This record gives sequence, C-alpha cells and structure tokens, in this order.
Amino acid sequence: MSNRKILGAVEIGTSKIAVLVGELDEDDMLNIIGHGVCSSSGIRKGAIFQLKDVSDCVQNAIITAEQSAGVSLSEVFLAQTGAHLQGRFLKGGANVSAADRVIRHGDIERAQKDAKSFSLEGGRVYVNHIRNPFLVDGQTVEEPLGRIGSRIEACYWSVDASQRVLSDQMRVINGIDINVRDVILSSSASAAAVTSEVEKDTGCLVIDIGGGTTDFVLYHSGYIVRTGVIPVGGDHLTNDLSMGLRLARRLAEDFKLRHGHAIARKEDRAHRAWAVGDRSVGDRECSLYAARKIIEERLRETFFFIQNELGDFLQSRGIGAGVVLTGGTANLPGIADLAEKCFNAPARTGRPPQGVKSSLAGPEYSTCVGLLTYAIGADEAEGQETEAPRFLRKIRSLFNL
Amino acid sequence: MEISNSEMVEHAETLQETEPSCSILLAGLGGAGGNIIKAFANRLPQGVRTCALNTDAKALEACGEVERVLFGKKITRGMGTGGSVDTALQVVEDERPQLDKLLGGVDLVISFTGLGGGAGTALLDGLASAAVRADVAHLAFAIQPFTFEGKARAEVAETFLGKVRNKVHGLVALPNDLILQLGDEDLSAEDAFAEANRWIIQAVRSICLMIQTAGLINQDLQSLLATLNERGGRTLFAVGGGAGTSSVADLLQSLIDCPLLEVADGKLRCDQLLVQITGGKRLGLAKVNQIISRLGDYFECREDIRFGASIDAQMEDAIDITLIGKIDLRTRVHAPSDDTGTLNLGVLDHQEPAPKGANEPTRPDRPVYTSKLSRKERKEGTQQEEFEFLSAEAQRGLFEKTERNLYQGEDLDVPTFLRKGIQIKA
Repeated sequence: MSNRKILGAVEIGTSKIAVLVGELDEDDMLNIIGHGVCSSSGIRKGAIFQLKDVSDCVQNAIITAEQSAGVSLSEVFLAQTGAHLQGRFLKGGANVSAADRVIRHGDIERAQKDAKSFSLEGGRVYVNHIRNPFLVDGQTVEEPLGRIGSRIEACYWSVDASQRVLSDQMRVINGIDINVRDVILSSSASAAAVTSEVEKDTGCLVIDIGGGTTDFVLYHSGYIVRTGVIPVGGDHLTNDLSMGLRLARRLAEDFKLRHGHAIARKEDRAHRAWAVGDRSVGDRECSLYAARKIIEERLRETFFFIQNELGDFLQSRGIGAGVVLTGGTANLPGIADLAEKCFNAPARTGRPPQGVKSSLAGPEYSTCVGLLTYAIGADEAEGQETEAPRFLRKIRSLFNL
Repeated sequence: MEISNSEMVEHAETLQETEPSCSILLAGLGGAGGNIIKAFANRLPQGVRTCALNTDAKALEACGEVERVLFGKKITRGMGTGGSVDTALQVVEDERPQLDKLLGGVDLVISFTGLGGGAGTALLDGLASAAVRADVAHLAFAIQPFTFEGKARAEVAETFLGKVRNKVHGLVALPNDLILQLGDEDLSAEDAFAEANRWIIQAVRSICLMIQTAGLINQDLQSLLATLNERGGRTLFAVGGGAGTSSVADLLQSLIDCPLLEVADGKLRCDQLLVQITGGKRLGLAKVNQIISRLGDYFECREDIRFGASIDAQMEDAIDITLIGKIDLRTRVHAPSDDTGTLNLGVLDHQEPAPKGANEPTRPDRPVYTSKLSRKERKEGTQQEEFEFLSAEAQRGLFEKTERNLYQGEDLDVPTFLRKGIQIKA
C-alpha cells in the first residue's frame, strides 16, 4: 500500500471535462483505476466563459472519478490548451569553464539558465519548457556531459500562457481543495499517448482536434520542436453546419455525427440526408454534398493554418512518419484522407494505446491518458527536469491494464 | 483646411475651361441638413451647387446664401412638419416633380440629413428615389439621432436607414451620440457640432476636389462610382490628416481614429477602397505609396484599391487623407433597375399614405402567405442567394457573444465557406 502512488489528470476541454485516476503499483505499472467525464458548460473555444458552471462540471467529474477509483485526490495534473498559448524557441549558451574543455554539470546548468532567462511581458507565464537537443560548438548533441567543446548551448521550445486564463483554471480546481501539481500542454500530452517512439524519432505531426481548439505538435528526432494552437475545433464544424444548412445547433451536432465526412465526394451530390432522422415535424432533407463541403472547407483551412504555423520547418525537415490525428474530431470519417491530401504525408487516426479500457479508447481521451503518462514521468523525475524521450520509453511497457 | 476661397476658385476655373466638369449638387435636407449646408459656405470649390430643402420656411431662411427649395406650401403652409414623418412623406409625395427637377443635369448628389425627424427623413427617402429615377449617383450622409431623443425617433431613423440603403450608392451613417464623446465636458454645443461638421466638410471637399480637378494621380467620378459599386451595401468613410512631417503610422492612426469610420471592433474588410491623398508641393511619392499599401493591408483590400493623389499648393506641409470603402453585404438587394416601379418607393409609390396609420409606410410589403407552388418555381428558375446574414456579428452563430477569434486578420468563428465565398447549395 505504501508504494502505491495515485495520480490524477484533469483536462478541461471545450466539449467535455475528463478526469482520470491512475495508480502506480510496486512494479511501476500504471493502472487506470477510475475516471469521470462530464460534458462542459461555460467553456467556449478552450477558455472559461462562466466560472461557476465550469466549477460545477469539474467538481462533478472529479467526484465521479474519485468514487469510481475509491480514492480521493489531493493533487492533479492539468492539461492546458487555448489560443492564449504561445510558443517560442529559446536558446541560451555558456562558455565551457574548465581548462580541459570538458563539459561539466555547471556548464550545462548555466546554459539552461541562460536560455530560460528570456523574460515574458507582463501577464504571461511559462507553462512548459520542452527541451531540445544541446549544441556543443554548433553541433547537435544528445548528452553534452563529458563532451569536449568550448561553448555549450541549450535549446528549448517554450510555451507561455496568459496568467489570467491559467489562474482561472487553477482557481476552479483549487476551489475543490485539490492542488494543481503541474500544468502540461494538451498537445504534448495527447502526442505522448498516440505516437510511438519510432514515429517520434522519424518525425511526425500530431494534430489534436478538440471541441474548441486544435493543438498540434511537431516531433523531430524524438524531440518536440514546435507546438501550437489554432482556435478552431469541432464546435466550429457544428456551427458552420448549423449556419450553412440552417439547422438548430443541437441538430447540426447530431447531423455532423451521423452524416459528417471530411471530404465532399462527387457521388454525395446525388444524396440527401434527413436532418432529424425520425421524420418528425420540421424534419427535412439536407444536401449531403453541401454539408460535407462545409466541413471540408473548414478542415482544409485549419490544416492550412497549421502548415503556415510550421512554416519552413515542414519543408526543411519533413514529417517522415506522417500525421497522427486525435481528439474528438478525429472520429470524423475521412479526416485522415483529407490530412493526407493536405500535408502530402501518410496520416492516421491515433487512439490511446491498447489496453486502455474500451470506454476510454476513443481519440477524445488521448489528452487525458497522455497526461497520466506525463504525470508518471514527472513523478519519477521528482524535481529534476522532465526529459520526455527517456521516461516515455519506459511508459510504453507500462501500458497494460 | 484653411484654404482661402478665392484661390480655390481659380484652381477650379482653369480646369473648367479645358473640359466639361461634372456637376455636383450638395443637398441639405431638413433642419440638420440645412445647418450643414450653411457650414459649407465659402469652403467649396466652384461648380458645386449647394441647395437646402425644407418644409420650414423659417429654417430655410437661416441657411444663408444657397439655393433654397421650400416644400409643402400647400400642406404645411411653410411651417414645418412638427417632426411627423407621415406629414412629411405626404409632402414629398406631392412634390415629386420638384425633386426630379432639382436633379436635372446633376451627375452626383451628396445629401445631408438628420434622421428621425419629419422633413429630413422623408426628403432623404424622396431624393433617393428621385436619384434612382434620374440615374444620378447619390452619396448620403445620414445623421442618426441622439439616444436621449427617445426610442420613437431612433426607430424612425433605423427604418428609413434600411429603406434608403438600397437606393443610394453610398450611405454614411453618423450617430449623433459620437458628438457626445468629443472633447471635454465643457465643450459648448456649438463647438461640438462645428467639430462634427468639420469632418463632413473635409470629406465632401476632398471628394469634390478629387472629381473636379486633375490630380497628380487622377481619380474621377467614375472611380468613385466604381468604388461605391452599385447601390446597397455598407459604406466606410473616414478622413484623417496631419502635418507633412508626421509619420505614416500617425497619419493612418488619425484616419482610423476618425469617428466617421464606424469600426465596431477589430479589423474590417472591405471589398473596394478609394483613397484620396491631398498634400502640399512636398508630398513624397514614397509616402503616398506607404500610406496606400498600409491601408490596403489594414482593410484587407488588396485587389480592388484605387487611389488618387493631388497637390494643393495651399496645403503647404499638411496632408489630408480621405478614404471611401465599400463592403458588399451578401444580402445586398440588387440595385433597382431603370423602371423603378416596385422596389424604390415601396408602398408609397402605389397608394396614398394612410393619414393615421403611423407605421404603415415603414412596413415591408411582404406577402402574407407564399404558396408552396410559387416557391418551387423560384427554385428552378434563378439561383437563390442562400444566406441572408446582415451583420458581421450574426455570421458567428454559436460564438456570437464571445471574443472575436482573430487569426491573421480573419475571424475564425465565421464559417470558412462564408469567408471564402464558397457556394453551398443547401
């Protein structure tokens, strides 16, 4: 019992709030022992809109999770997304101090400190510093300790957030008397759940299309080199449909789930679909082609924005292992084909790893499951810097329920 | 701004010798319109006709040395309409030929009205219809009443604004409430109104100059009309300026700060843009270029941008910028064709206005019931416009009341197919 470690992960998403409770047993095996899901209200586009409503939902989800796990949480890891996040590449350097030019701990620390010293404007705080490879005299080096060189540079992809948005979420969780242990980028959490080591090493792009936002992460040689958020998600598809087909929002959402497809095909022109489906009063036929065209245009645009954000990165380094789509909208049929077309690379839908119980196996849970895997890493490192590639190698073997 | 009249006249005259100039009529409608016309006195290039139209002889008298037309001698005996739109509409209806006569030989009419009252409101409607009949370009400045003037006036103003919008080439609506925001607490009413008039005067003056004089980079009536495109749609209007030494950014800011430019928030996209820059002899081409390209970026109008530049020796170091833009609303009712029968005057054209029913003329003439058969026919015939969203806000659906989702100048909450203009046949 004493060795048992309980970890909680919370994702406050635009369409749902998911809480997972995981347990690390003596053999460092992760078991997901409880979960609670509550559909969100009071959240638009990833940002809290009505504090009270969100607070109620989070409380609900946490209580459900605690009950199903039979434990009580005292601290959780929180996923973070939204248009307020901003990433930047930080680089700091230090001259190697020893006369024999051997790099020691002190040098590495100074370089890291220098990189992180970039100060943000008021009202913004760092969420994550994601480590990228070191450079020793301009050469990429995985582990600089003990190498010989005259200058060492530390590189980070750092993400900062608006303090106001962040503290809103913290307040919601603190209000239930639970601490937020750490805040983790949603996109990197999802990516941890849906990609393999090989894919990360070869380079891949993970796109997590949630309800209100689309998060993406670009891996290169096993490191996260870019992350970003496009403030568009599944809700936008619904809204577009509701306006384009003139359906009530609820009907549009339903229509999207029943008849949605990411690509408008020629043969769709001949088909019409019922808006409600039960031919009740007010039910009418809508053009399938129109609906799918609306969806396709929105997704194409979103993918285009991602390509734009990645810019020359995409051209110079490529995405060898292709695109992995996850998040609720990844359930949309045909979305992988569309991504393939847009990015000119293989694409697939990514789900949480095998072994997760079926109710959590959908792509919409990958952020939350990924968050737990991150949480273990943070727990292991305990105060040390999180080094994603190392601990994740371990995680893969841990994932059996 | 401070240009002596005589020199202006010289400038205009030399030009009139070489080519037939286009004839511009400035019409002040009603009391407020008359006041503006009065403020124009001596500040216009020659060849521009000014004319005040009112039902109130006393107010007309006060307009000074301009052409004056008294309406409704029979009905109101020259004593005004007392703010009643119905009476005024009747007057205008009675004296339609007089309006037609007024527009004879005119190429462009620029009208000024204070909406919400009697005469001005009805005259604007009448003049707009007359301009449609005579195929005269019409640019209307309509001043909306103060909020404190009450709901009734605001409603009248709103109704007629909608009615007139489709008949004029450009409609610049100026909320009077803006005047309240001007200057300090102790700014006198007279000064505040003068300040508001100053913008209108600068705007109109530069339009007139642009059309009537040959500029360094010349623009004429046709460019103005091309910018305003057709009747309907939303017109953007702004004036700005500064000293020649001020930076491009400052000049642009003065333009964007102009209260005439009713930018709700964030950026506005416009479909056509016309920019006129007037400066002294030292006006640099590089500066003109910078201003234009920055404006094009700001309004996201890169395809259809016209610009003119003229040198005015009197300006010395100052620069004036006037901007006219047009947003084609998707809902635009196509400009009424030459036979103006149904659309122009709505109910008024066909029947005598009922003397008692206050709301009668403003009610849209919509059939009570459209049979399914007629609907079917329409489907097979002409293509329907599928969206009838009026405001930018209404295009955002679910996200209506949230912060704008601006990404590289586009509001991502507005459906992609709407922003890209992709036809969806629902």
